[in-house]
Amino acid sequence: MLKEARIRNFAALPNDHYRFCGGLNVIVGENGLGKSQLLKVLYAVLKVHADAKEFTKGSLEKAYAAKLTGVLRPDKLGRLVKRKQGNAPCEIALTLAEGEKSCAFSFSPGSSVSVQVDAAPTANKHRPAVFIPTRELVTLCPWFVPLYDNYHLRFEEAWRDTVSLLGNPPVKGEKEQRVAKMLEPLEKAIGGRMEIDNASGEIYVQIPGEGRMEMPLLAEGLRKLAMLGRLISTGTLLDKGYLFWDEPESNLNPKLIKTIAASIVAVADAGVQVFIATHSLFLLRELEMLLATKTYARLPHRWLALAAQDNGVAVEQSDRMEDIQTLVLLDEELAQSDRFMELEESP
Amino acid sequence: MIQIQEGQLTFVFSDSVMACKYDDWSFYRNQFQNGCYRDNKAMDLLCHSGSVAWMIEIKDYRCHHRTKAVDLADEIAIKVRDTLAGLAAAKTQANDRDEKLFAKKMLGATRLRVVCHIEQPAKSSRLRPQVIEPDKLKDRLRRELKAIDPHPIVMDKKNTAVAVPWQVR
Repeated sequence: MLKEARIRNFAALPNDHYRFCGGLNVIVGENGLGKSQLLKVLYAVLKVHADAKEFTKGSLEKAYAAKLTGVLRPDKLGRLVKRKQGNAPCEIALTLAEGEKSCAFSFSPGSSVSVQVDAAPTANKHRPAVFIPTRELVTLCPWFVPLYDNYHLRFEEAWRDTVSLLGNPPVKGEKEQRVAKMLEPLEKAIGGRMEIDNASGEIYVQIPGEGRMEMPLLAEGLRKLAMLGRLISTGTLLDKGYLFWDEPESNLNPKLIKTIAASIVAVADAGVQVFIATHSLFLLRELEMLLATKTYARLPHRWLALAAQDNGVAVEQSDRMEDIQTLVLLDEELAQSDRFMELEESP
Repeated sequence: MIQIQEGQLTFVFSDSVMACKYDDWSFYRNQFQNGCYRDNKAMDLLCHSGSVAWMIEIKDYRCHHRTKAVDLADEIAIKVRDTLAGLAAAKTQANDRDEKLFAKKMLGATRLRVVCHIEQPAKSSRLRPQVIEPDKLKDRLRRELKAIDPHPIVMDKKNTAVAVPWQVR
């Protein structure tokens, strides 16, 4: 479990200690304050650990640099250093509950292919990390992986990583029952069962009475549900690991946001440490209600808000939503409500 | 000055207006509620002010069970419809002379206004400062009552910006 990230001079993010809980971590904030960057930097580091075959400083120096560059797509690594800080290096340190899996490294504005590792994890067997971007990726399965691996493409590497996971076979054995339970609401919303064509590796939906439907024919929002469903059915998001999801609500109507909120909480409750960034008050309210139910009464949750201030961006964080002062999405909703109410009050 | 108590709320009407509790009318209780088909509903208060007839529904969720938000606009729309039907009948059929006169005044107005006075439930959260969102309710009411009042008012006692001929304490 990721307990804390100490981040200094990284892109738009405020220098701070970001503390997380083992369950659901929700990040809010206006556009451009660094929500996605926070998800991506955490994902990049944990994905390096999950995929690493060795944990020597030498191998990690290059692996961190390559992954950060691949996931965040700067022209070169050093561009990720906060630009207002002169030549001060960017420092990133992740503290995990299993202390031997923690790490710390830094890089300077001139860095391109390596970072300086100050503390490397000493343990292996790191948990898998998954990043879901704002758009669906199921229609990219499986052709995107060889395309990305064989050509210089400026797509974010997290897309490639996640597409490669979508093509995995479904789990079998004792886990199948749990998978079926978690898939049920998603498949109900989609209107059929997801299956993978063994010959082509493409994902289809088997719709009762209609047969197989190609993924590109499915609505964009439903494809996002299918993407989550595949990651659950392959066991990637079943009971361990990390899920980073940028704007789960994008392309979804409120009815589907309700479904996705329930699945996010169920995934977190099953043992996956979940991090989401959102602009949706509807999603936040759904999560708040789910977390207040008896089913999820013990699920840890934490709220982080990136807030624009006169001297830059600050982070507010707490286990209680009531402690978060800056909720621009709520303020704007209320202001809109006021404007509407005032519109015709004095006809 | 007419004062009408409704639960914990006191409605104080200007001197120039007439106001009453419609759901206390003997016509409504004894003649109309189940004497025109059945189970007719009633708005809480009526007010006649100049050329405007006001129909007021009061929802004090601080002390009463909350109607589901999705049903609230429907409930009010039905009450408005039934109350107008009741007033049309009371104008000629009410046994109580004052009620008959009040109905005549209301139906002589050139404008009908619908008001939902709502006091929010005590339960709220950081994400939901108002459990019943007044703009959403107003939007639903506007759609459901466009033939009667295309500009229904949703207000609470803190809202002093709305031009109505009464105050609420």
